[in-house]
Amino acid sequence: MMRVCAAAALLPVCLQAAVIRGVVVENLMGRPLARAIVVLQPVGSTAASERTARANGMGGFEFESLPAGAYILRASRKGFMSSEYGQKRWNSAGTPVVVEESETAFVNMRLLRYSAITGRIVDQNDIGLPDQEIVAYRLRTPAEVAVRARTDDRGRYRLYGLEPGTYTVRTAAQQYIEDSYLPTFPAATEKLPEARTVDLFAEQQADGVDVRPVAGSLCSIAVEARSFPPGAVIRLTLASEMGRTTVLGTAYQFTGLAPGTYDVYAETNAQPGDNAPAAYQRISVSHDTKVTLLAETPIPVVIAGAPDGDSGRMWFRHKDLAGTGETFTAALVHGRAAIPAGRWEVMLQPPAGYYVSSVMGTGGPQGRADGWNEIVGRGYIRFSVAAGPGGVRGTVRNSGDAVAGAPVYLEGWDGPSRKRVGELKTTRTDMRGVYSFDGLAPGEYRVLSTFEYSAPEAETMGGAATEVTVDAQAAKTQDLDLYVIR
Amino acid sequence: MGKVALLGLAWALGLHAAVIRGTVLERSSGHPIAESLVVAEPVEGTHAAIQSARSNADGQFEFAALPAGAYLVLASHRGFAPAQYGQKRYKGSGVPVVLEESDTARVEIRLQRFGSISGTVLDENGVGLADHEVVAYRNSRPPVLVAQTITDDLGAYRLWGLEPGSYLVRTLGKEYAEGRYLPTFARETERLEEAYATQIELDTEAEHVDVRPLAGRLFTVAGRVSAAPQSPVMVTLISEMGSTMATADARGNFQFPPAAAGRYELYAVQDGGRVYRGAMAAYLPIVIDRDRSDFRLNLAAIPTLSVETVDEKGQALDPGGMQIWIRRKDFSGQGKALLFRGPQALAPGRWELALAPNTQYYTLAFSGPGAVGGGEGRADGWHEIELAASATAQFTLAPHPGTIHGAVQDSGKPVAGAPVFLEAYDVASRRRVGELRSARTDVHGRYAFYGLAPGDYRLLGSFEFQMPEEAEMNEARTMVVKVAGGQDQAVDLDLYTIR
Repeated sequence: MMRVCAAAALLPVCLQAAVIRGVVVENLMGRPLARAIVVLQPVGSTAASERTARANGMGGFEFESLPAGAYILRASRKGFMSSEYGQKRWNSAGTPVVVEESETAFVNMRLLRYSAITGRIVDQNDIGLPDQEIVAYRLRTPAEVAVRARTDDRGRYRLYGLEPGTYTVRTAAQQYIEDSYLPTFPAATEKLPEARTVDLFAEQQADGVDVRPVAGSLCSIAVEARSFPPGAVIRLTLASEMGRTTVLGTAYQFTGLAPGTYDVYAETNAQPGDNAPAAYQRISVSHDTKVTLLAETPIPVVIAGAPDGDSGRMWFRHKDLAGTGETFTAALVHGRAAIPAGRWEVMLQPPAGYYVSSVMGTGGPQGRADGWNEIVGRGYIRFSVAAGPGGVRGTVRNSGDAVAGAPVYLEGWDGPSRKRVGELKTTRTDMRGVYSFDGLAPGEYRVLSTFEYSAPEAETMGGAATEVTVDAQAAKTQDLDLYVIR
Repeated sequence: MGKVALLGLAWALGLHAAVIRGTVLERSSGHPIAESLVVAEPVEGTHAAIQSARSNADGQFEFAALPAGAYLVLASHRGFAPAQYGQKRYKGSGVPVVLEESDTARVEIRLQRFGSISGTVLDENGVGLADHEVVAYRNSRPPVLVAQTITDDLGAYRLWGLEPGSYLVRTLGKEYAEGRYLPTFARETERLEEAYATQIELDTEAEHVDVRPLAGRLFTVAGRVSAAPQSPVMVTLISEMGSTMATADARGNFQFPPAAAGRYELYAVQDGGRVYRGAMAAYLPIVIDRDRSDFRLNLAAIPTLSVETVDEKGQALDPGGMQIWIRRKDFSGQGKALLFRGPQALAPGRWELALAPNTQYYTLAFSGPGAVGGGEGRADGWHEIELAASATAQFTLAPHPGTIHGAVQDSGKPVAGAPVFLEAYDVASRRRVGELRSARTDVHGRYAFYGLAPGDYRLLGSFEFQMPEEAEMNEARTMVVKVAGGQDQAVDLDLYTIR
């Protein structure tokens, strides 16, 4: 009797539950990746929540009792690029796994290694330079520091964890007891256009990227912060093309610096946005230099046109010689906020039902207001928001059939400057192949649906995307053909 | 007229001055090493000051205007093992360059890289484990941690800067993203006795020293510091394999990362570990064989150690010209020896004391808190004490120490600048007592050692070593000499050479 009851209770569960089973292996040798983390994400209207599993010693994993539907599977393990099931290339989007009721699907996930660059840093007699710092630059506009490494006792280095792309390397300025070297690109040049570049494919290691640093005199910058509130913890930051260095204290001498241009900041340890004083200067140095940074009041930010009680959210990040920095957020109180004096990019996320219509301020924010707006130094910023944003929606089809779980990408597009505005927006189509983006400021956009990319860059969008003009208070319909590279 | 005066000056300088010229090269490639530091060190009896120079872009250096005499030439450069001219092996002594007036000597010094060990940390399927900590220990007992690194994305590691010798490679026990791993020696053992030893020479890399960390159980090590003062308390967990530190929170609770089973020592010192009189501290030897979060460290006033020197009748004796040395002793080995200057606040636990004698007295006996082996064996070495509360240690001194002097000869000729080593030796146990002493012969080949306690000594004159180990002394042709109180022994030595 008991047994019958138990069986009856189990039956409905067993019958209706779908299962996704699989194995995670490394791409090159096919070895199982024990303890890899696998995340299962339901797509569109699939009635399930996100789940995580850890692969067993043989790389196997299983998700049981799943409602029928479409799922994206993502696997990751330290030292490997995380990957979605069905990804065509390292930067493609995954394809959903569709399971019917009581169906069992088996998936094989192959993880790729990152790429790497190795070489030696040597002096004029080909003797390896030990403990020399080196950075890998990803060659985009502008070039950005991707990873750092140090040479071993023989002057050998290995820069790893690199996504495929075009790179060069650069040694940091180095002061040894007896001699000093300037930042140098391979094989032996101070100039980026003359540097040897490396095209890295997935899992590729480029060897023999040797550098012979150019000998030269280095200098120092002594920074002193003044007029800050007594007892405040001060952070002094030096930013250059080689990255950022931060120390605590009111005075510090940054040494071993190549002649050139630097951004120096004095900021308090308070969260940025806490109305704290700060100071900033950009300086060019060719010899030992002293800089006094006088505390300045924060840059006021005003939001006009927002409803009472909700002015949205503000995001900001350093934008200087070292590129863009960590992103901070600040609460808006009665439509007001403040950010420390300095070099920033600011973005406003408007309240629901509103869009950013314009931006004004000193330091000259230009172009579209609904993306990142660059500001310099001091002054003020004034955002205006307006009610009734627009939207885009439509169906993605492939040879006439609606495509479920297809990735759709949308970017704000500033035609005159030919630049992306703000961040790329991403969604996936539902089970009927329908996508939608809401809360858009009026203006030009480019939209693309494809499995070929997981986060396409502006250049990639250019060749394949459809241009759409979004109007206020209107949802534009734009059906899309799935873009496939054949 | 002016020309004549100049010539005269050149004449004077040229005639009397000796010159050492040379080149510094990378041994493996023969490439010149620029900017290396070269030092000319006069041997005792040579009336000159120590001089230093930097090699130029072609690796060349020069010491001009040297008085006649004997000089040791040493070269060093970042990333290389320092070397002395004429050195046969890494731990060998340099041979002095002997110069007559107006001689010019040419020397070549070839520098070698320190050794290295490389390999991969792999999981059970042979896939490299990224970001694993790997350490190298000198293969001594207890092992001494000498190098530490982290694996790259392929699980590969390289430990470098290693002196020649025997090493053990181990991954650290930790909770990594991929699971809990026990500390594991190459190749695949938790046990020190079973660990794979790697022999390292200069300029070589031992490759493929791979480790597959064993998955397994690590234990919680946590507890509380009682009577916690306002200032932060630093707690140190020490095992034979090294130490880990943690800071107790405001309520005195401390916790270490999960640790493997074994014997450990716990130390706690207030004020972030700063030792001073009046500070609070605690010491507790422990065994971890299960999860433990109940360790109690009872802070007490930090002990003060005083050291007295007395004569045979127990009367205080002014130790003018004598030095007392002290060093930490714990499971991870010995700390650095420091000069003991009067009563001193010391963290509780184990310490070692030694007295460096002068020409008038030698150490006859030692007593101290928890001292082991008091009254037995020789008193002129290190003495271990265990410090729980303030205490006094005592060295008993006797007058009229012995002296040994003599000459070092090679084929009947005196050898200038030859290293001479003196080892206090316990004939019964065939063990070294205390620290090895060394001297160099003067320009006439003579040496001397003073302040010797009565007993047996082994003597060796040789360029083969810098500081020979006990085993190396056993291998070499040493002279065993018995020293009696107040006696001056004359011992001539034949230069020992390995052929």
